[in-house]
Amino acid sequence: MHPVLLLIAALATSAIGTLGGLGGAIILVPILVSTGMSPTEVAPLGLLSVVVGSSAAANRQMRAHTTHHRLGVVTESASTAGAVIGALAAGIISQDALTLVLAGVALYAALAGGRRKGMRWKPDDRAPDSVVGEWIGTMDGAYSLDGAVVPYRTSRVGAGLVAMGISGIITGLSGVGGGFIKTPAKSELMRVPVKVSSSTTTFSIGITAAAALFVKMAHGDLDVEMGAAVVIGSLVGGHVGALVQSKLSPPVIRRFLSVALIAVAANLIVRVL
Amino acid sequence: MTPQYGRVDPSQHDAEERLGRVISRTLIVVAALAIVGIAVPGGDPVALVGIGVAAAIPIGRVAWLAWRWARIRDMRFMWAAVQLLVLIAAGPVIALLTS
Repeated sequence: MHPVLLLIAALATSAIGTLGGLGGAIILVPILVSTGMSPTEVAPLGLLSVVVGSSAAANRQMRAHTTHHRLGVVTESASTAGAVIGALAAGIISQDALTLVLAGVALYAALAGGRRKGMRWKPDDRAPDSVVGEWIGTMDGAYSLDGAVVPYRTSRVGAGLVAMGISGIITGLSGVGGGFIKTPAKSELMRVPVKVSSSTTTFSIGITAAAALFVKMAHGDLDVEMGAAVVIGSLVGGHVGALVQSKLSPPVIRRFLSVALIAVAANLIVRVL
Repeated sequence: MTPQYGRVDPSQHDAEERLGRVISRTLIVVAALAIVGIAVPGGDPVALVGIGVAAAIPIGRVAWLAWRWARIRDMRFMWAAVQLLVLIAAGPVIALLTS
């Protein structure tokens, strides 16, 4: 693939991935594989797009106070532990069966998010601006929406951590990034607002992807020229995704996420058939 | 009934804005290195340095969070960040040992 085409693909997929909190690799990797590139060649480029997209979105998402670092660190610990277990257990389940499970999870998450109407957490007139941000010692917080303060509380933390652990195991087994499980798990299971859930996942998936990318680089699996094209495309894409995310209302983002998850599920099913 | 709101670290917003600026500036350097890597013949080592810096940003961000939370005595989350850093280090080590 020509580096300019790769740059454009990385830009588009990183923008979509950042907007929905999915990570761009889930879309970029199948596109590159369909052009004839080998999975070994494509995997580090996918990881790189997640790492760069995550950092590119960071500035805008932190200024909007939609990234909950405490929530991200705790949930990513569960997924990273799961990913290590999954990587060690790779080969136990057939790739096709695993891919179909992933497609089922994506479809379920799409339906769960798409079925819900309106906003779970409403703007609170009594909440002062000073409570916007992460609350010390908790995974609760508040964010600003059109000038109003929206406080929220994270619930069902135990169930959420189990979901994150399972997403990590699936990541370790299949090599598919878990953003498309983590974002809906946070918003639908842990009841975190979708903007916070999406921003926090964009932050946290960058961490695991970076660790995996170092391994790929150490093995010499990364094509540096292609990697440089992905860096430039994902940088622009991450900025664009975060900018669009800051302009859209939570229900619109949730609907976008549902559509993107259905596309991911369809893509996974097509890979098996 | 008055709703109970949590307490936000008063320096959180300023600190995050500073971190955001540092990340943005680092990414400009990364982009410049990537462009040099593509445009200049034999520029691969330059691009590789840029990619390495890009990959270090998310991990550096977790280390920064651990330091911040230690400073404000939010020890539970500080340890969570340290634990995550250990897990991140363990993954590649295990992968390299088992490959």
